Amino acid sequence: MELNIPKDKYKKRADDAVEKSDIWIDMLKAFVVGGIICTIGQVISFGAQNIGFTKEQAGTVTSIVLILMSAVATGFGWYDNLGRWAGAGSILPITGFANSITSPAMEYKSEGLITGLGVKMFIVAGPVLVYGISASVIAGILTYLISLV
Amino acid sequence: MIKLGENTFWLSGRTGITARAAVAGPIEGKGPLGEMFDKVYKDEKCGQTSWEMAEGQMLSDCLDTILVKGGKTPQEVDLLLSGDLLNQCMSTAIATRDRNIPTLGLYGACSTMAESMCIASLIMEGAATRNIICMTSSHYCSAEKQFRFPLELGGQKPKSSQSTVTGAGGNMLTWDGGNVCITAVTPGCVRDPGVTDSNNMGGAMAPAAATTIATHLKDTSRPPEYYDMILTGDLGELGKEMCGQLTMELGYDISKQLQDAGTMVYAPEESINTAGTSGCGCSAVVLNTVILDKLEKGELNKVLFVGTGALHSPALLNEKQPIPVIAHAVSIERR
Amino acid sequence: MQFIWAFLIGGALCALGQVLIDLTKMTASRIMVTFVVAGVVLSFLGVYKPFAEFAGAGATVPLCGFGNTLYQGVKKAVMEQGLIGAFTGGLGATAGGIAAAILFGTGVAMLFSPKGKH
Repeated sequence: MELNIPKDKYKKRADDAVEKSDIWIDMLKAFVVGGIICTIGQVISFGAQNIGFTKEQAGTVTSIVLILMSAVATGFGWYDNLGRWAGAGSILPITGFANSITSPAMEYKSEGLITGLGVKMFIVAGPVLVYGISASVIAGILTYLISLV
Repeated sequence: MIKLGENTFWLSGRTGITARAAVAGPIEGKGPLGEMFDKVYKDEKCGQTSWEMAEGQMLSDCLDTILVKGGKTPQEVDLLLSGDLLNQCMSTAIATRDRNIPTLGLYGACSTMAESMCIASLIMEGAATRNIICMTSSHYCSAEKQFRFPLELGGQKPKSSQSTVTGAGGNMLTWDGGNVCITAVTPGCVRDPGVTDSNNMGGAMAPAAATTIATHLKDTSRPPEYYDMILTGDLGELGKEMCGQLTMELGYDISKQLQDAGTMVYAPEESINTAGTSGCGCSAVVLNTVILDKLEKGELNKVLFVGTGALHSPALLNEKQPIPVIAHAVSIERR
Repeated sequence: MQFIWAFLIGGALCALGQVLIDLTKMTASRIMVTFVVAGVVLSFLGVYKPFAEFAGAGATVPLCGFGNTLYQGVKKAVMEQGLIGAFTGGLGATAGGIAAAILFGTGVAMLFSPKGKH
């Protein structure tokens, strides 16, 4: 016995049956959490400039401190709870990048420090480096070519 | 045993269920089935060092409990049919190593409990076997690790997603034993309904469940009212509703009988943001606790157990293939 | 005032990402890649740097800011060293963040194990 429903029709039917989450509430949550993380970043940045770092160095210091905070929050098992609530609000800041490196490292530690933790560390964040760096090198070559003209 | 209609094997009814066991993790233990589990673990590591070993430990404890409750030594068990969700059936290998029981490893995703009972009852009818054990397990953490993302990665899950049950369940089938027996089995065909959303497994599996149920009813000429309950494995809220609709479209109104194990495991406050539970352990722990208990006591007389499985693989999904699905039906009746 | 802009702009970028997630069912990896590459492109087009000067951490903390840092590093190195700078500048400018993520990620993973669902 077979259902005589074409695949594309059934796919649409199954997709339509899914209760959609409220996009406005999701956006609001992402906005608030993302905004708060960026504000914390601003505080760190001003603090770093106050103790003598240049503006450019302060940017790096901000990244490092936020990454440390995120890694520790991930370790204590807090960041995934935040992410479940905030969605993009905790994925897109640099803290989300740190979470995406720390969480597979923790998960695969049971398979060994080299073969697990070390190998699997970038299963989520790897593509960010691959495509970010590739894009920047291409853009750099273009910049070089433009400077020749 | 005779082959009936399209896909159904009509059995003598001499294969009975003589022992059953179910063990589960802490969240499942707080759910409505909590009191009926043979063992509830304090934490999800189950005293082991990794999620894979934890799942193996649960399955191993489940096997021990079945042997004890059935009063059988490993030598008296002719065959062990077991499967799970992990690559290379890791938990099965861990639970059955050095057991000295002939073991056949199965993979039917979340339909494994029904699949193993289908195969076991067919072997019982045809071969000189006395006791066969069927069992399966799943673990939330090992399944997340293998099929989705690291546990500590922050991200949202849609409401249509289902949560893998941390638990193991199984039973022992004995020739001419027990007061609850298997009277017919309808193994299902692999279906491809075209669904690609891995967060909507219920919707993907509903066509497989509906076609298997309708095939079984047609082959056996039984009306839906013949059964007190038609129990699907892990369709969840959404999939259960779609299964009811699709079966109706195939000519059978099962709305009064249809129940889904995926809606029975978690306490209401735990399932608020999901469509229910899933995983091999889902139908295994529900069948081997409350359902068989009611059958043994006579509160239920005839149950059609329909294990549902999404044969989902991350590699295929990344290659943009839809999720293949399957469902097997086992007719379980009081003697 | 700078704090308010950081909050508003950073929040708005995250809300934009949330729209992409909800409408396209993008995974975490995809959304992060999209934002980083968008940051590189906008920076190359000369749009992102003035934006970042105005929005402060609101523009540098989200991952598009990481893309901006990559390109600004590349640009500076190309101006100083020529073509080789295209290859060395990006990682140089972002080395702090990447090295921190690797070190802290490894350290934390050695100290902590993932928690179960309960």
